[in-house]
Amino acid sequence: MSQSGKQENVNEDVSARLDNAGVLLQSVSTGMEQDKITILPGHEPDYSACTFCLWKEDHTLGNALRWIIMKDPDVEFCGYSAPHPSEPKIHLRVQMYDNLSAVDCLRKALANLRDLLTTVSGQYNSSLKSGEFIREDDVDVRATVEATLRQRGFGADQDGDVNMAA
Amino acid sequence: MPLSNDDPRRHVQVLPERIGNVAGSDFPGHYPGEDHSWNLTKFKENLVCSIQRLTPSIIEFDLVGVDASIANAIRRVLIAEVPTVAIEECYVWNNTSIMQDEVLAHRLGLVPLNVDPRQMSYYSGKTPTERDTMVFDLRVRCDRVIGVPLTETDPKMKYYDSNVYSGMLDWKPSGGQEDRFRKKRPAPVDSDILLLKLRPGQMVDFHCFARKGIGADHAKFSPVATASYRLLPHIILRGPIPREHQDKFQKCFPPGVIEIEQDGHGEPQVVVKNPRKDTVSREVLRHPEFQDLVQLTRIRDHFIFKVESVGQYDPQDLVPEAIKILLNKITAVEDSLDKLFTTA
Repeated sequence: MSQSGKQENVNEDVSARLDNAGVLLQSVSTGMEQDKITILPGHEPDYSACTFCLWKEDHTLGNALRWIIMKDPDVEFCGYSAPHPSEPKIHLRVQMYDNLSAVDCLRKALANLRDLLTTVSGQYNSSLKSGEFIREDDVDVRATVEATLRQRGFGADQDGDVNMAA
Repeated sequence: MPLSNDDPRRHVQVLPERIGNVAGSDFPGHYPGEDHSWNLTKFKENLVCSIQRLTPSIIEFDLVGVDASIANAIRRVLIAEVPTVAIEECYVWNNTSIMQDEVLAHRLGLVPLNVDPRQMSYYSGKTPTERDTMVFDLRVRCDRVIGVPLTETDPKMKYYDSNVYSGMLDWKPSGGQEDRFRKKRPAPVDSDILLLKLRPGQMVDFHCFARKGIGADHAKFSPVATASYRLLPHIILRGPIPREHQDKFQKCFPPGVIEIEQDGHGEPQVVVKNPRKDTVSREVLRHPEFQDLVQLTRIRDHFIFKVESVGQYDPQDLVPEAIKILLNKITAVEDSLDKLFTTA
């Protein structure tokens, strides 16, 4: 609950800014800098239900975050959407049980996702280091094509376009 | 311990006309009395990431015990967000060939370059520097070979440089680039890509700037020829296959999937040998005699990845790069979240 301390410090200015729809309408064309994450207007005052807007993110992070947030037993609902295909942003909706903070939940989820990916990366690297897999050469496409042509009665390399020596 | 493939909760059913049980249900609150909340220790126990096959351009590996959203995130980042260096700007000094400037410029952009993107930074949009821009020249002129009989029809014999290949792109190092890229001289990955054809008197003179970019911006920046996954097929035999149908049963699957072996009593029995080779064609479900004897499934959290590198990265380096990019995304969101709650 590291967030709850911070939340009490949130002054009027911040809530006003978060509730300002104009923040969301900054677009690529205006060239204005957009924050990576904002909270959409209409969230619960205690942040127990919020919609986050993630700028320049898509299903890659959206779906992974949705899944890991749904793994939290304190979460009542979590879903995400890409509101429009030409806007590079996603909306992530989180609703909590017992008036817990969705912001805390998001922080926890991000940390969990980092643990998960680090674990996958670690396992991948140790598997690579162990060397217990098949190592072989690529299929020699050119030799295969030439063999096929010869087999079918075409002279290989008749066109000559793929021959660098020319 | 890895999970058992016989657990029906892990099965995606492959039925004759549809698939069933597609979505996972391992969320808190779904099963009374069971804890499905996120648990790193449990995750570590169940996770398997093992490389199966490695060639100079392809890596195949199994990822078991993660949700589809994670596997898909890795796949999507591989295709669209792992950066590479490709020709981005072309200055045309001369082009008397029959190919239009913009068509050749586009073709040049698509040529994969063997530059390590980790040694370059993104172009700032201001003055190009040796850290973000790499210069390649393409200067080719076609001429007639003197003394060739008039009856000769082969352009290769009649003309010099009638074919322009990617190998003719000439790297022009600037500043410290010569030193930094000493190990592997920047050039196209494949030197035998035919860019255009010329006839005597025609020439092209292109001055090209290569920059770092990502596949989301343009597919030429994608470092993978294909990055895909499939779910491990799992064939369940619900009863012994009668001896007279055993050969037919085996032929319903690709070679190597089903074998006929002697059991303890010396009776031939059908066994599932290597389900990985199965294409899940559902041929077996067409025959009424097998209808109740076999069930086709896939394991929902067993992903068989196949990643083919275009040549900018070694294939085994691609997945760690993708994970690094995903971790950076997480850090970016966390930093912005901090900013949101600290600044007024």
